[in-house]
Amino acid sequence: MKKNIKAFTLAEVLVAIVIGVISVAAAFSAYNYYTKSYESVSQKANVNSAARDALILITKDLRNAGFIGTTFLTASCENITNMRDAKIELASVSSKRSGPYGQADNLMLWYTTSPQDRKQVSYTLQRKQNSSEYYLARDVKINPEGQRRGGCQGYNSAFNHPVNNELLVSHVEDFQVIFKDKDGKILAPACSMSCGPEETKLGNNNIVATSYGNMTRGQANQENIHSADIYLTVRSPKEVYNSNRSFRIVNGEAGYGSNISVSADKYYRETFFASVHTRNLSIPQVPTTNTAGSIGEGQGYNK
Amino acid sequence: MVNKNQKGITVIEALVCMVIIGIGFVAMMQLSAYSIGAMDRSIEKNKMNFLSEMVLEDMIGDPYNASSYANVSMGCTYSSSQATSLPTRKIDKWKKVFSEDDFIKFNSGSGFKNKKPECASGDLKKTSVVSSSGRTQAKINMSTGQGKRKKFLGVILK
Amino acid sequence: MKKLNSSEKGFALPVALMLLVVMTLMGAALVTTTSSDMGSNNERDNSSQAFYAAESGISMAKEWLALQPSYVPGSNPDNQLRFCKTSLFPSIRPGQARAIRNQGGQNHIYRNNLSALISASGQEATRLSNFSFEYFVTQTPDRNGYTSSPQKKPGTNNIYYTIYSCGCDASIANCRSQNNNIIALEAVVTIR
Repeated sequence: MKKNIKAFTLAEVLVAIVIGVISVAAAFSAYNYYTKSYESVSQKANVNSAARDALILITKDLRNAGFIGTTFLTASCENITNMRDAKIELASVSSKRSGPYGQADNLMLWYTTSPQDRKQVSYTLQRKQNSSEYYLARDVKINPEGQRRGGCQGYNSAFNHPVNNELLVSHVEDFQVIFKDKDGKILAPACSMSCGPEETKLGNNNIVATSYGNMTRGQANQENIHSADIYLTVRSPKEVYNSNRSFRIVNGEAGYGSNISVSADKYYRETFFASVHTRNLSIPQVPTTNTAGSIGEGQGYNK
Repeated sequence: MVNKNQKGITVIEALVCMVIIGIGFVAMMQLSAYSIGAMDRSIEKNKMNFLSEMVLEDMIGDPYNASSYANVSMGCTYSSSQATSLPTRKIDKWKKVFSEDDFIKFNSGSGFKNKKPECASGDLKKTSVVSSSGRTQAKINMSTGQGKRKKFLGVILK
Repeated sequence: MKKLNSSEKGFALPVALMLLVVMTLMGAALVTTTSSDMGSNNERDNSSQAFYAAESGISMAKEWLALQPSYVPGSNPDNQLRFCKTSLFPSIRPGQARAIRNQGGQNHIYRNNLSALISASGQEATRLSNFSFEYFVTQTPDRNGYTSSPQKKPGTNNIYYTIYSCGCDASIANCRSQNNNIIALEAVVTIR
């Protein structure tokens, strides 16, 4: 029998198989780790950019909130002819608790965009049908009173067209807005109407006489808002961590805000904070020495 | 005699190939490790952008008392203080928010830990206010990562 | 044949190679995601500073207004404005802006780089020199967008003036409305 048939011995084949399997296993586990970290980076990028875009919009709206153009009252589609009607709605935070843990705020604000038009922007947490996921929605209405009272129904088409509950950020865990007055103290309630429990607590102390007539405390407070703090906690769309972890989210201060416990899961969560000086709401700080300074009445954006 | 026209892979070739592919894998691992760190830094930078705006906004809201906001340094830890006026309340809030003390705590089995931003003792987060001939300017200066990452925002208050 | 025997045993190498290719593609995606996120951060930072540049313009305008003995509307400043054109402001009827004049009888328009006004050195100064503002002032437009007749604050004799200020994320020499971020602000003031 010819012994020079070239072939592999059993040992060689076994060793080759073992080496092959080990190296493929190593390659796959490296690939697996790599894929996990790719997922995690891409989820975090998602959270980061959604929160960034949302906060840019919210801060811009809060800076404009309460701007009433000098020519607005005399020519508005909302049948608003006196300051009192205009000042009933400036910027308000509803104490109706919403969101996945029932502790989030709803923010609503108003500003005029032309002599005829007044814009209402509201930020609420909404839930999609058949889902337990909450998203932060931004809703814009032009001339909401006019539509109710039958003032001019159209709006200046040079400005934004109304959107209904545009989805800003998905998977929002918490949204808090805290108003502060010119002394830096928390200002609550500050809302246009039916503030909820905070105002009901005031009982008879709820009506305040202002230079524009009698208003509820919440309505009167809207003009004293000096700054607004915004907390936004966002969750990643998909799971990111390898093992379960539980979270505690505390957004806000001393009784105003949220205290949320999240049971163990693998999602990534991050809280973003922004704060704005509400230029069009606060009563301007007047210099005490006469430096011939001018007093700002209000500022507005155009875009 | 070894026939040099035989097609196939010698052991040496196979080994060299494996080494090269191994280096490729290692490089990918480095890349992913770097990306994870870069993404975390990017999230912190995003938050810092909003926080530095907060500082300027608070100063813009109180322009005639701007000197009370000068030379405030935000460190890595926060301890609450009694704040009784607008500037002291704002500064207290800045320090608290920069240290992210309250925001999110997580527990992965060994007790609740604060999810704190990376903060080295050499990091600088400081405001500066300069007034001359009636004009006041305000700035916030931040440098992190041992001075490798700088951020700066300035405005004329009045 | 040795050839067949060798290629039978080569299952680890091609698998590893394929995985490497896939990982490289994902790596490219990873790098793109991370760097685009960082790029968004920088962009947001720039637009933030441009906003404060516009606010600085408003502060400078207030300073100027407080010193003027009289306020006389001039003519349409569009030709003299580099990037803060009146078309950015819907409250002004096109072509009807009448900028307040300076003491020399010219439309008052002021522009500057932030580095000239905010004291800084080194990297800060370089960064600030890449941000600028430009402003002009008119009497507050009436509800049809005309700025030639004064509007008074109800119940007083104070005339409303509007400061139109724009911030740009480039120096005044380099700012182009097509390429740069321009933030437009208006501020309504009265003079006491």
